[in-house]
Amino acid sequence: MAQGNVIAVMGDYKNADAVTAAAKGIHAAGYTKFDIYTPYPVHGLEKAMGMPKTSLPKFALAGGLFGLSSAFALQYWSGAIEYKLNIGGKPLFTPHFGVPVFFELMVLCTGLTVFFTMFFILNKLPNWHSKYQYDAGFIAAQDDNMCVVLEAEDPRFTVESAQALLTKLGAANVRVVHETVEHDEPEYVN
Amino acid sequence: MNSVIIADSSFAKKLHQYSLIALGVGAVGMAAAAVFDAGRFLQAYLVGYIYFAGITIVSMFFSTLQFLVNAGWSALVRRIPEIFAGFLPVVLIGLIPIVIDVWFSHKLYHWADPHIYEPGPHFDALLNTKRGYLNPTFFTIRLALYATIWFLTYRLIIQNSFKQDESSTDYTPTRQNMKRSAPFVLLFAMSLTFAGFDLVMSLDPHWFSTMFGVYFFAGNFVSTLSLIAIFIVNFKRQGLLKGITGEHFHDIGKFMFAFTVFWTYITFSQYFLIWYGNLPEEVLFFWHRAHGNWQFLGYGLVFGHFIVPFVTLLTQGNKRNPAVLVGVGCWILFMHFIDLCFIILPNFSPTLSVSWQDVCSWLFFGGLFFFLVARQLGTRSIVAFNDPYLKESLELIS
Repeated sequence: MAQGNVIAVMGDYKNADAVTAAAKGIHAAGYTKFDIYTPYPVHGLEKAMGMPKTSLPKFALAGGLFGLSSAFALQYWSGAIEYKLNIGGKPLFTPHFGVPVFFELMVLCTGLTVFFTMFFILNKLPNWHSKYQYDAGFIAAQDDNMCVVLEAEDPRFTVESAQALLTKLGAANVRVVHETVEHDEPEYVN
Repeated sequence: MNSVIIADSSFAKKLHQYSLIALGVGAVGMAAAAVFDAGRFLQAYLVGYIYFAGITIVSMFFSTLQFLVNAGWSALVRRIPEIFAGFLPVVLIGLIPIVIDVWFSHKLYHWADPHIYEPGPHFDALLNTKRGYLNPTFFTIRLALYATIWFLTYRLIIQNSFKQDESSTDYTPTRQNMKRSAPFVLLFAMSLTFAGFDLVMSLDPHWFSTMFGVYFFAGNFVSTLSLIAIFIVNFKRQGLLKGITGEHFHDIGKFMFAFTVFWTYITFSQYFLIWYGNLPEEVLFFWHRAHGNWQFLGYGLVFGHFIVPFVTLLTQGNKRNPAVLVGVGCWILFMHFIDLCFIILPNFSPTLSVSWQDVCSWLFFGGLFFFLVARQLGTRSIVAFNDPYLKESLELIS
């Protein structure tokens, strides 16, 4: 397997409290580009890592307001302007009967906005790979390992300081991860 | 954790002091109201009584619910509604004036008046058909049944929860409560729904709404949560209950937010179906409330009971902010009072009639409520310190 540039320094942990403490230590050391992969959601980890709040609520609000205003426009235009129908002497348009449609369209638009924003903008789907995916510890993060990754893109990253930091924070199996240029995939013969 | 008794804290002392002042002012006002106009006095009495009776009964439900679902987060705050439940004796005794009125003076409940069933100009054919349900004997039997259910809930669930304080190794009381809570939640749902029908909805006996029980519950529940929030914020501020963190505020805040939305959903559903159905019997209830100056109270509720708490509690930061939580809590408690006035008082007066009698009644029952709470704070721990879930609650991250 050929090796490229250094892309990260990784370390392993075996329990949630230790990894939360390590996240606090890394955040305190000033790292911004680092990530932690765990087999299950660890409560409080994002706070320990000092992650900024998600921008999803702003998208949700925009989607909700769009849904609300389109529901208003739809009912007002179709009921009171385009096709006037007198139903049981009720007014052509009034918010009373509009509320269920306001609500439904608002919820629908918010839900769809949140779904597409979260998966396709914030979570960067459809991106089916990670550059760390050939690392054994990273693969084990699906099962029984908590894997801390200090990325080389961080401005204060140097291999030595990152290794020293992770060792100081008690990580096991601290290792330097290189970019995988090519890997052992079976070659198919046509 | 050990028992936390806050008899010497300035919080308990101030609560005791202010409750006595409120009780005194309320009692004088109520006495004056009774002399001034007995009918108006009973209406105000009902407003104040329902307000605090609802909070008491829903507090018992809150505690029962935590046992039913084995809730971990709430172990630290569960004792506070259990202390509120100590108002139950007054709730049970407070039913007596209502029963007396139904039997003898007929000032509150129109259907109790025997004259409307005699042939003549006052004969009411509709109520005559409802007489099998709405008559003083059956009314009294039903109230006695609710009173029994509430009394049993207090004896079997709440007092059993207190019993857990005696032992840190034997969890029998908690185990028993987990089993007992299931039937009692069911009984609670039935008793509160029918108590709402009997005590409040039957003030307008021609009107009926199957949604009313849920509506009644939603308003009471959101105000109980607000009261719990106000108490835990004060305990935290004065350093009386150290385990309380922003996570508990957040959870209570979420609960308040959810039930504000629930109240709105139920209230609107009730209104919407009646508006659309447009049947004379059902519409009259809202006709009285949508005309004259009662309508301002109605609009006030839409803004005050829904939009203000909804917008304030929407963001995460606000739910975790103790000052905001207390502010919204007080506001919701105030709006709940307006809500009850809006349900009860238009039955007796075509024009806006919220008056000093209602405020005095609120002060009277509120004074009594907080007096009993303060008295219990003198002897009872404000945290269920032997609860098996307490550790989980202390480490809560929401």
